Amino acid sequence: MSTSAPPLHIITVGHVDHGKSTLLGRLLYDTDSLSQEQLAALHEASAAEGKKLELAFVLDAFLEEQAENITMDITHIPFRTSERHYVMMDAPGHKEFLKNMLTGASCAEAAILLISIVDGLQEQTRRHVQLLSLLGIDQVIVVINKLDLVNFSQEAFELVSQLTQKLFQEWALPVPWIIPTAASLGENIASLSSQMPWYEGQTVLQCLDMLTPKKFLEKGPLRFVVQDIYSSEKFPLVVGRVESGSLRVSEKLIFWPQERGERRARVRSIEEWGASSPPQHAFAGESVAITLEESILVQRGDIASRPQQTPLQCTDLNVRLFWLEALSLRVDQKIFLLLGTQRLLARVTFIENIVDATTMKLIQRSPCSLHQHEVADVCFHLHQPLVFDYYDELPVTGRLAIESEKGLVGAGIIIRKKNESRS
Amino acid sequence: MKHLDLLESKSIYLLREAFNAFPHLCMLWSMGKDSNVLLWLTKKAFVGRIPYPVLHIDTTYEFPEMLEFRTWAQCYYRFELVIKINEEARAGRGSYTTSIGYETHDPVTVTHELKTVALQQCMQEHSFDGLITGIRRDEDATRAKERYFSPRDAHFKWDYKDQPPELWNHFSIKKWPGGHTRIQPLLDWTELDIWRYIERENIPIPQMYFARNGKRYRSLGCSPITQPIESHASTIPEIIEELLQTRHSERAGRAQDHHERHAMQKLRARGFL
Repeated sequence: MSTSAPPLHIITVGHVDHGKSTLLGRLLYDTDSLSQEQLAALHEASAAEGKKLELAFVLDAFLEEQAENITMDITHIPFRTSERHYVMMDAPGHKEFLKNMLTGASCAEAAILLISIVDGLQEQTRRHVQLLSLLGIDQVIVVINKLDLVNFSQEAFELVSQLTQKLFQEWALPVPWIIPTAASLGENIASLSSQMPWYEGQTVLQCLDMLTPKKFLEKGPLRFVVQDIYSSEKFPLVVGRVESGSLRVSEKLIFWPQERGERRARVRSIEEWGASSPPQHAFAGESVAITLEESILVQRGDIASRPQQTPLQCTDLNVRLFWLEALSLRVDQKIFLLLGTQRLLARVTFIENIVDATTMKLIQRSPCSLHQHEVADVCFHLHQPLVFDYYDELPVTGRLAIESEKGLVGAGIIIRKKNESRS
Repeated sequence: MKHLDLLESKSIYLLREAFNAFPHLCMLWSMGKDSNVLLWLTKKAFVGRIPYPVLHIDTTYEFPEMLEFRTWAQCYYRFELVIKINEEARAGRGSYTTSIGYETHDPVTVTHELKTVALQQCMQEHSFDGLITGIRRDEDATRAKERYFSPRDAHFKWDYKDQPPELWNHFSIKKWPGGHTRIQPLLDWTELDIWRYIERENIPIPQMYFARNGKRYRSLGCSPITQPIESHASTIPEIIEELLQTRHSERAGRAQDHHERHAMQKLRARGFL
């Protein structure tokens, strides 16, 4: 097993009672990943709450979570198989905790969706699939759980399996792996179940090891997001992260936005404390400090690119937006858009295509507003141009967060306007 | 990118975001291994500088070797060091009717008074609005639910039932009246990552982590309530090998965590790290 590869980040989603924490607890238990202290605490906690061995307690650490059998907040569990390392993120299924699920999903490379065979596809299941689609998480393992409660019936499994496939089609997601399990008993989790001889697919563990890790965008267009400028004895240090592509010493950069004339400068050096020799290159994912040959004004929020493959800048945007806040978003409302390190005030000019996650139907509402936990296409107008890429071309600079005085209240991806073709 | 490079890069990104967002930022430093990784990452993030004060909450129950390391490291790195002791609690003055200490009180009470309350006093005295900490998600089940930027009110309360969302690289930097934000750049690191990074970068750490006479400290806290583990690991590669084999958790030797069920949640809800 390679220890130098980053772990794969996986989020578990699904309706509140469908057994996510139990599944993860089972995975940890069956792969012998729990410490002796965790095992002892698990037995003690289960006894204190008057339950048999409750595997969910490994993850649900808070008093309230264990007493009420719910997950309140996302938890991160490092975990490994013989193949590689994982970070499993357990997201709560309750509607009021969708922001916590989104927090985890925004850094996930793949998802496990849990569906109880007893309840089938619930509103939360559908909403989570909608969010996976919005966030571009297209590697999904669907675990149809609690087969023990229907006598391990193949017929019942096939029915839910078909409905699930249809749901994935509706949200333009690829066909997922679908596995019948009984997580509390460990059936088809780490080893194949003898109770379900009709199932010929993989176990959950085998499926995990088949997932593809995120690729770093080293070959993509350069997007160097400026975080700050630090003064130093010689030249100012422009610090930030290469979000896509690569940059090298002596190469010419353009800093965006371009308002009054172009800002071009060559990279003089890449500065690194303690480096034996100064680096000549920086690649996607790296936080760096650079100095420039030419003296130009650079500030937080700027994005540097190469002279070719430049980003877009615009004062009108179309955003597919997921709204988190209890107070609805209204037309004419002013709100901050956060992209990279940009933070710009924008006005809502239009809201359309509000889709009901459960019925897939368009919601008509007048005057138009976006309610909590809904997705819609929202048009924004800004005074200053925002620098971005379309999400379908470069996700890392094609997604944004929305901020009000209450904090982060929405997440979205930048989509093309109607009749707009690929550039 | 390689795993350690990615962890390092993200931590640097978070430190720079914190420095930009909070005008009165400080960093907690316990002289332990995670704290020293934080110092190292700070030097990297700010290209050789440590641009904020470094805070040591001194419980007066520190191991003498740790205090020696404190003096040495301050000379080596050259930073502004703020040392804070909750003098009133130790002396039984002011709002305290008796002197607080391990000799007379349970570890949860002492940890709260000599660590959390001392930190509270210090944050108030200096009007700090941002506090960089070295906690990691793999240390404790409630820390596993932490955010990179975590707001605390004036009473240090952690509202774990309603934490702000974090989306991609956007964090909550809302200022609370009298409160502060904790910035936690090591959340994603595991104990093994920390040791592999210390090895790769050759980061100075106290010698107490290395085995002497068959024992070593895996996690360091106050001397009366911190137990060493049985170990013969006297080099970093040996420690890494030991960690790959062990079935015990890192903080098993820290008494305040295990004083009662949910001790860490109770301590942490009241402001402990």
